[in-house]
Amino acid sequence: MRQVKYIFSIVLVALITLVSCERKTPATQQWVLEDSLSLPGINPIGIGVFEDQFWLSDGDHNRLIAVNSLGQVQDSILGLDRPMHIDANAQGLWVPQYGSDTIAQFKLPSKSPLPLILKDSLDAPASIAVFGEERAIADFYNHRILYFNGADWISIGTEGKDAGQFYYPTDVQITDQNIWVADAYNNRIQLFDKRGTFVRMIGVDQKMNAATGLYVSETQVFVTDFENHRLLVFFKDGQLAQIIETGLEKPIDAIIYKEKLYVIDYKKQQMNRYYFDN
Amino acid sequence: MKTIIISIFSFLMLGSSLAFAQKSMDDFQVQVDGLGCPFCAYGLEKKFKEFKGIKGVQIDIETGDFSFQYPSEKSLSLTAVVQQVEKAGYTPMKTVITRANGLVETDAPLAAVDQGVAGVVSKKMFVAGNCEMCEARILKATSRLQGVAAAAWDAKTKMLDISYDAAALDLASISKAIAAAGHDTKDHKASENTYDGLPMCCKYERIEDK
Repeated sequence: MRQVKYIFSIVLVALITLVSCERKTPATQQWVLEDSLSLPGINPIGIGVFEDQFWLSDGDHNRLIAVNSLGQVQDSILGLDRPMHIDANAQGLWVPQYGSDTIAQFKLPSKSPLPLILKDSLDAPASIAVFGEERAIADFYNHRILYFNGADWISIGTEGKDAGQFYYPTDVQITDQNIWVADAYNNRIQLFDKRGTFVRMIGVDQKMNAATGLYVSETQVFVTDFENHRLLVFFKDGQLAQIIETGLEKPIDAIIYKEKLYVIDYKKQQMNRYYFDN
Repeated sequence: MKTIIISIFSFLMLGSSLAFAQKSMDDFQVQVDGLGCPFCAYGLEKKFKEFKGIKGVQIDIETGDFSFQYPSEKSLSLTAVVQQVEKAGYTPMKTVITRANGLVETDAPLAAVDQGVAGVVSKKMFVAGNCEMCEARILKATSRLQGVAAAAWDAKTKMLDISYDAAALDLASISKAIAAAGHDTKDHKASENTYDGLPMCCKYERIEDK
């Protein structure tokens, strides 16, 4: 009996050690507002970085705008049809056009759009994610994610509230192992493996009101809670790390660039910059 | 001189033809329940693009006010507008069409009795809700009741001011109708199904059971 107790104690200590080691970032470390960059006349919806410039989709004005780290306008692409959550990689900018059901690629400095050819038809693409040769599209009115693994396209999810289902997905991101989805009007984040199998959901207990935007870093998941005027920061296992409310009214997308967190605000027409306070 | 006269004549002709073109458009104003973000607003716009010839689309995300113009010769009906809003996934609360000839069509129920009529009483009632869309839904529920003269709901205080013909209606019936539309009152609660069906921005804190 004593032996059993001894083994139990060892297992318990090992478990506690494991749990305490799992969290690399102590809870005391927080994102802190550094400054707010005003974007007059721009109602940003999506953000991507290409060659040190922040590209913002301005859906209300059917354009993309490039700004520098001071918020100064550097460039633009006009004549789009409701561009939403964009992405960028070495090949340029990727732009979902919600109004025309198309995805355009811009190999900057060229501003001629190259269409992404799909066999399937979209209904209001809200987001595009690129990761190497992989692609993912949040297909808003079809309540699904289209994912290209480099060889084939697969369709993930159907309309609904159960695990693995969506209700108006608005943002998607691909990481090494997973596909992350802002399941906007189910008010949660869903995580899938690359075969499209549901893994877990995040934020269901946070009473979000439209999880419109998503960014996944190496350790954290950032979710814009549009109607509640806040950004929720989770660890990747789903535990809440921080709630950021300072300076936010209608946050809609986020990104980390050079260790700073940037959050764009659709209504306030601004981009907030946060630093990580160690 | 001849050139000047021709220029003035041409200008006047252009002006009158523009005025005619403007008058040949019907104006549509729809209050839509369920819009909350640009994704919803653009979605509604997208579905209405199926109406070829639509112009001047404006959507106010905060209030749910949606307006546009459409060629009058196409005689776009109120029913077709309502059906298209529903097809886009939203609920039309009130539609007003001002035709190019000045005629006004609406699906807003008219008040059954006027203020000042004998038997009309004014009462206050707590009604749970959050926003302008809640307000529209609450007022639509009350306006459908036979005997309601006037109603106003304040999102900050959550108080409904209502005037009604006491011979035709009582407060309990009003409370029930509001709860059936999805909003808790102190005496009647919305069903779980109805509450779950509300847009996310309208998901108010439920009133605790007594």
